[in-house]
Amino acid sequence: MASRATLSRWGAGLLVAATIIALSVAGLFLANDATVGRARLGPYYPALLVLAAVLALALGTIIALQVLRLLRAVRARQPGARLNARLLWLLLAIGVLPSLILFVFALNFLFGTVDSRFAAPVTSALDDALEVGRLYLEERRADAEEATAGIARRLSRLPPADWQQELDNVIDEVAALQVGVLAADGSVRASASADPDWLRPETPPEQLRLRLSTDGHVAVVESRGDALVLRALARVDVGALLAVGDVVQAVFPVPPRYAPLAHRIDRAVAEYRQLDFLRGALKVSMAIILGLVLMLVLLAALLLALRGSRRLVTPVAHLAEATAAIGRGEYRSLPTPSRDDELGDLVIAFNRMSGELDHARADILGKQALLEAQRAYLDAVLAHISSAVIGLDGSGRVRLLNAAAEQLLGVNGHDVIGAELAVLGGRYPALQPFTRRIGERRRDAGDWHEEVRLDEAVPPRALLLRGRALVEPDGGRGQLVVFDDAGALGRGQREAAWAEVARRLAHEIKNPLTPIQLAAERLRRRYLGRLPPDDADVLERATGTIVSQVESLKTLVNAFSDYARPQPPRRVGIGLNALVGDVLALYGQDARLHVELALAPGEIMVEADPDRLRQVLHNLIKNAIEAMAELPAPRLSVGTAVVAVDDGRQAMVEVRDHGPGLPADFDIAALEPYRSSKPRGSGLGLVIVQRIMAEHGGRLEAGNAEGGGAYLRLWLPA
Amino acid sequence: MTSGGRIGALLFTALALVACGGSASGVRIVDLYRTADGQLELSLRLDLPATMVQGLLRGVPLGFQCEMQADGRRSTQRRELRFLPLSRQYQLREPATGYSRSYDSRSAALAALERWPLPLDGDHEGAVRVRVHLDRGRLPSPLALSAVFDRDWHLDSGVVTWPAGQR
Repeated sequence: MASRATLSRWGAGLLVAATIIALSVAGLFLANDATVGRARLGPYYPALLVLAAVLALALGTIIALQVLRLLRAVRARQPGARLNARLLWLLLAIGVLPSLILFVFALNFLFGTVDSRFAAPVTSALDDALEVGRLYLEERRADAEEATAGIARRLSRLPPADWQQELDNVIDEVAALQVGVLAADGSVRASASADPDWLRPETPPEQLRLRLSTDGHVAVVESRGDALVLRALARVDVGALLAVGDVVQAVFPVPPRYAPLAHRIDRAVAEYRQLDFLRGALKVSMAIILGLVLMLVLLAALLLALRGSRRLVTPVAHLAEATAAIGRGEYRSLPTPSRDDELGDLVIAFNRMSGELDHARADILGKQALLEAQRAYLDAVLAHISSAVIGLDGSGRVRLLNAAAEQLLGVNGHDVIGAELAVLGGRYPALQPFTRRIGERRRDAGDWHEEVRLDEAVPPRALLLRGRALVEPDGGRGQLVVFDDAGALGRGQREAAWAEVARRLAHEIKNPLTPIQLAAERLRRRYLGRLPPDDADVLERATGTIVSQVESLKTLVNAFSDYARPQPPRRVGIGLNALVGDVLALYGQDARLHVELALAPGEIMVEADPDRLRQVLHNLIKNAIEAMAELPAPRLSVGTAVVAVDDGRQAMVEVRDHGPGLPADFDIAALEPYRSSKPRGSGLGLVIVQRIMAEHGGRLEAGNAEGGGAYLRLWLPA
Repeated sequence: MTSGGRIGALLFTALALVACGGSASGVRIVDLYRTADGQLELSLRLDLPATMVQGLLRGVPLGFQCEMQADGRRSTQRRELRFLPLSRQYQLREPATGYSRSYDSRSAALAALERWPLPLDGDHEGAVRVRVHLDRGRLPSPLALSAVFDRDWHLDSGVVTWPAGQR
């Protein structure tokens, strides 16, 4: 398409150039040809004029189309169009006005020059010269006529037989070139000649014969090549009986010096009169030629103005367009101009600026992306670290609050972000010690540590705060406060200590248990039959007690081992509903127990260690059954569900008993090993459950259900 | 007439019609006859417009051209009429042959011009196409250009075929 447009432009350019050249040639030829004496191109004038008109029409059409296109561009407010139009009018004003002035001036000058050629003295002199010539010729003609009439009179007195003799005599007397007598039928009756070129008399023209018949004699001037001669005729009147109609014809020479003078006068007068006659035509021709040239100049000026203004404005239009594009965020380079001027320099500078802007924007976008990635990374870190983080800006407004902080403070981030610290304290009165202390520390420049007790919180807790001043982008001083639940930290430390105790206990206790059990059983086998019944009974009960207590100790030691040496879970995809069904099947033999099952439809797939999850379920069910040990008809409710949460889906397993419920001070977050609310509990069951859930990225929730009893819920990512 | 001139004449026709509203011709071919000495001769009727007569008297030579086509051959003859102010005579000249003749009156000169011998054998029997017109291209330069737009200078008999009806 681009090449076709280029060709079209080239074609139009060639047509325009050819038109201008043709008009120029036509104008020049006409101007040259029409002012010289004879028009060499006269036969081609109509064709030349028609050709000029056609070419001018074509040129005018091209120009009109371009002007129309420009007007449409102005109306459409295309970049550069208005400037283009203004430049065009300016160039036209510069070109057209002087051309018109020149045209009028030239026409006036030429008309004046033409008129000045016909000065009155010249006209008068030529007329006088012509009159002199005419008088001379008239005189000569009268002499010739008189001489010829004299010859005729002399001949009329002589018999025709003597006419030849008389002519021979008279020719020298009258200094004629030729003298002859012609009969009415044109035959020569007698003749004499003084010049070899005039030997035989010519028959006189009919018009002379007619004049002769009325006047009796006549004489005319005739041209013979470059010479002039006088032909005179006279009737020979010899009476009615003689040859009626005989005519004397004499040819007299005009002096040779006179002939060229007469020719020159004739020619000069003819040409002068011709010029005078052609004066009007000459003016019309000049007006036509000058008009043609003016039209050519105007059309060429218009075309050049169109092209020139477009050429001047095109880079400006491109610049305007590219500038608008930059406003839209599109950075593009303009074609490198071939012109070596300020506009070219401007385009080059613009390209450089555009390139630098593009580079800077790409740099900014890259840094922005990096910043976003870092921010996302920081958000991910903040969201997943166990420590709570709160950030304040220079005016004390909350800028940052991570998930751990939300959980620990029991607030919703959406309500807190952007709020001032005092407002946060007002909205959550239990947090006032926390907000007040941070407010007091907000002006501290360095790191600081504090412990704050939230006695009004449920449950009451102590927070360990670590603060650090941060310089805001706007120069303000903000604060970043990292805080933890002091109880949880202590619990962690205690858990680690307990794990060490459990490991050592398991190691120290487990080893002697088997020998004790074996020894008790051997004592029983060896001495039970030998002892009297009373002693045997004592032995039986004592060894039974020993064996059963050893079994209990083994169970306890195994639990210690599980707590002390946690293994990383072996995660596979398992169906939660199926697992719940498997576990519950083991309790189906208990006729007293009534199980209510409410499983979610379909299957809930989770990534988890099946053995550990089975252990968790056993622990929960066993706890529930133990809690209902005093009830005559224990009722166990087990259910599963899938709940949509912010960052995905969570699978939930609920185990509910209908026993007395959890103690009032029970805090699932404060579970510690070896502390049990049950008389025979090891205090490890829920702690192990909690640990296993944490290993799976889940959590344990506990509470008292409406209508009595307690519920324990397992939450796992689904 | 040259082919360029013919094309020019054709192109001019449209221009002349627009500029002048139609051309008025003052020359008409009346007859083609055989003279007593067996020569084929055209009989014309010439009616010179006043402007042209004025031009003739003011020294403008009037060139007339006769184009003839017979037996597939073309030929062109020219005759020129001019006024000689010194002798007050009208001169009829044939540039090709150099023959010239002077006449005391315009009527005599026009009468001579109205008899135009054709270069054909006296016993020629075929069709003859003839056109007689004023040769504007040979007018003096300034007049040649302005005459394009002046119908007084458009003398043209048009093409006449003789005998009538033949092509």
